[in-house]
Amino acid sequence: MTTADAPAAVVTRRPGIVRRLLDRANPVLVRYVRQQLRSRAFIVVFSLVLAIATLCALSVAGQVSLGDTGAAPALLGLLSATWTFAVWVFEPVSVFRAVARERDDNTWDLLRLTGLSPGRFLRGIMLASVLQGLLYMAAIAPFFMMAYLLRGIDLVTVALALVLIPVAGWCASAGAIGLACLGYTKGLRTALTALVAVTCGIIWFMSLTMWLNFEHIGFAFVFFGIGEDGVFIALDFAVFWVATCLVLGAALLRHPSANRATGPRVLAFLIPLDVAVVAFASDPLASHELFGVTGIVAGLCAFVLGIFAVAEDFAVTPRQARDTARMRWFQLPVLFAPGGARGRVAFAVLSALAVVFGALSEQDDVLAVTLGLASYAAIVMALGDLVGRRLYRSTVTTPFGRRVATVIVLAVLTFLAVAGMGLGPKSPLGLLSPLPGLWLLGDRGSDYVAIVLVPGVVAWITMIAFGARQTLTRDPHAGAPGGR
Amino acid sequence: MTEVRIDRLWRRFGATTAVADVSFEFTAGQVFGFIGPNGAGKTTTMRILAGLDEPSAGDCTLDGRSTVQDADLVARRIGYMPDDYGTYPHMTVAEYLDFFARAYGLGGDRRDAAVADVVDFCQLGDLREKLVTSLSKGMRQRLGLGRALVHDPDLLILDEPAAGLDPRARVELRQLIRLLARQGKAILVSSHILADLEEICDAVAIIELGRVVATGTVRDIKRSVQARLEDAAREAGEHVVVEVRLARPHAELARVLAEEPEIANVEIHDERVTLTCSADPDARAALLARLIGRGLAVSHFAARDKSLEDVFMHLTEGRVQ
Repeated sequence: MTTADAPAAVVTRRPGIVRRLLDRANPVLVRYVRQQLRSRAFIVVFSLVLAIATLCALSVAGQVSLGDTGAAPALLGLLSATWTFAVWVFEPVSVFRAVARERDDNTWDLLRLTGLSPGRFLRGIMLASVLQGLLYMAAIAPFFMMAYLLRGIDLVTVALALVLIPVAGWCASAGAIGLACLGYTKGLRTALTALVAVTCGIIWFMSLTMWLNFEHIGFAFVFFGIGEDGVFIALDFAVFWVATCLVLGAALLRHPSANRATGPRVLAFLIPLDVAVVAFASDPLASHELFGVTGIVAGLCAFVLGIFAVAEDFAVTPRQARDTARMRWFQLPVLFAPGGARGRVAFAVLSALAVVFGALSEQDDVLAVTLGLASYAAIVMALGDLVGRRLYRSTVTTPFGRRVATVIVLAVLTFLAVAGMGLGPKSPLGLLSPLPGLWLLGDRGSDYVAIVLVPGVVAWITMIAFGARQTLTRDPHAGAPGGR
Repeated sequence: MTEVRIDRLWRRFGATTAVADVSFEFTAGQVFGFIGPNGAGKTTTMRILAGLDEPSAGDCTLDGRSTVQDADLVARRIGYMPDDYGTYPHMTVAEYLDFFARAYGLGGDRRDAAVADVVDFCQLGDLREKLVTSLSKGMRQRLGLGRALVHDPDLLILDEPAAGLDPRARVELRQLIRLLARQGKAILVSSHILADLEEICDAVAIIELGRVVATGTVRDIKRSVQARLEDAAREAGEHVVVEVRLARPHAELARVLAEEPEIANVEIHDERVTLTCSADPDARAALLARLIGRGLAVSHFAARDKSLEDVFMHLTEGRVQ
């Protein structure tokens, strides 16, 4: 079973560059592409796209003479409608099923044993989707060029279509991959499959209005209000959307006892950094003020990260206990509670950054909003601690149940806040929940910021108190029968 | 030498205790059988050992390194074949093995050699280009074994590998497992087919309701259970089945045995006799002396060995949780 028995000639042969590249390729990418190229569904859809595109091209070419400016946009619209079905509907549903099936069939366990990380697995599926998108693009591009040659559309429009359609498809695929990681049970994954299929179908169906009236609408909507920068911002957004979906999906797939927060934490810092760069470089955003935009984005990231940290496990697992014991510096973060300790430190740093950027802003309402974000994030985390470690610990025993319980508590608070705002649009009751609360703070920050800050500070103290108590009495095996 | 140790393992799922204080150990070259009814905690224990699940307490170690705390480091030394797993559609046998070899980080010629080795070892050569989904159950089990072996692990965990296999496939699987043990792999195998385990296992652990009720070599467990059963039968005044073998035929054998008041039932097959007599050792010794005295050339006289199945039925009550 070793290579020792292999013939010497085989061992010493130098592999070619293509072979070496293929060796280093993501194994899931290689497998998924192999599978898809044999899959009946892919062959049928690809053939249909090609056949419909050919029919459209032939029928338009047969009916119009050169210089008919109405024919080219119509052809481009028809081609786009066909192409988008493949990359906006078929591809996202396919990748969703690929991830879901891996978990339904228990093959994910076999993959975990190989040491393949969830991130690499999801990247493999995503890259395969990108490759297939490029395959569709290669098939449809000649017809796009034909539409251009018919005159009536410019090269920029053709290039935009060739870029934006697959990019939107990849965003849809990334969203589908992220959703596929969310389902903990087979039933939920089946329901999510239907959700993905219906949502993608509806988006495609709605886009038909644009494609079938391409002659009148075109890609003009892209430029409304944001100009050419809008395309780059859209591409930037797409990159971060795909990264977010893959990183969060991988964190969900990771073993519950492993450290799942590294990816989300890094991303949470990269997003405000990217926003700062974009805001600095882009005219429309620069006019809004760099510090304010970055501060609010950092606050939003801290808020999301805070919820994510709450959703982590609440007890110290053996692996986390080992990490804690090995790294002295790790002792301090544990003060904020053991489960998502390092995630919470990142949350604290991001909250501080948000407040600092808010203070540097020239507008007072921005500081109020960033302070509000930091406070609300702390309140949500403390609430999660209460739900997870105190109130429901004995009754809701699974992490998933605790997450649902936390969301229910937040939903109730939001309902109360919205109901309170029914009494008057500026009722302080709106502060009960982050969404109306932040709107109120943005509108009349100076009046309300103190009301939000006090519970925020209390939340911080509560979290530190919980963390300190757990740290002092920490025993990773406490509660287990026969525990040491 | 590879040493596997399961040390005071506990696993709870809410209010259910799936594994309770399970401990056993085995080494390289040994086939260790894990026996228990459905829901006894076998698969949970195996998953924890493979690093796929986390125990509530206790630990599993491979050469002293924890498969719980250092799961990432130990995983590549473990090959795991679960009882139920899906296969990928639109993939051939060769591609399936190649995929897992890639996932284990094997590159280039090493990967080709590893795949060729397991194809050869599991006798999958004729099926290389067949789609995985078109394989029979027996062939899929072989493929699963090949997948678990592709990275040449030190510890092999086989969860119900013989389930659903026909007799020939079971015999071939047994041969493969013994061959792997001879190559120096430590093997943990669970099965409902106790006759299979009895034949290939050096030691076993019998588990029920998450607790180990007996562990040791098959011979030791059988002896211990047999002694207990005989003691119980003697105290209750019951009979035991004794197997007798004669060195040469005796013309009056049937009459001699019929005249013995101690003997309850007799079955005679040439020189082999199965009879039922008192469980009391003194009474049996006296019976043996009388039979020899009446001219029977007795070469073997012993209570019938219990099979592993008898032992299992004696030690477990069939309770499930």
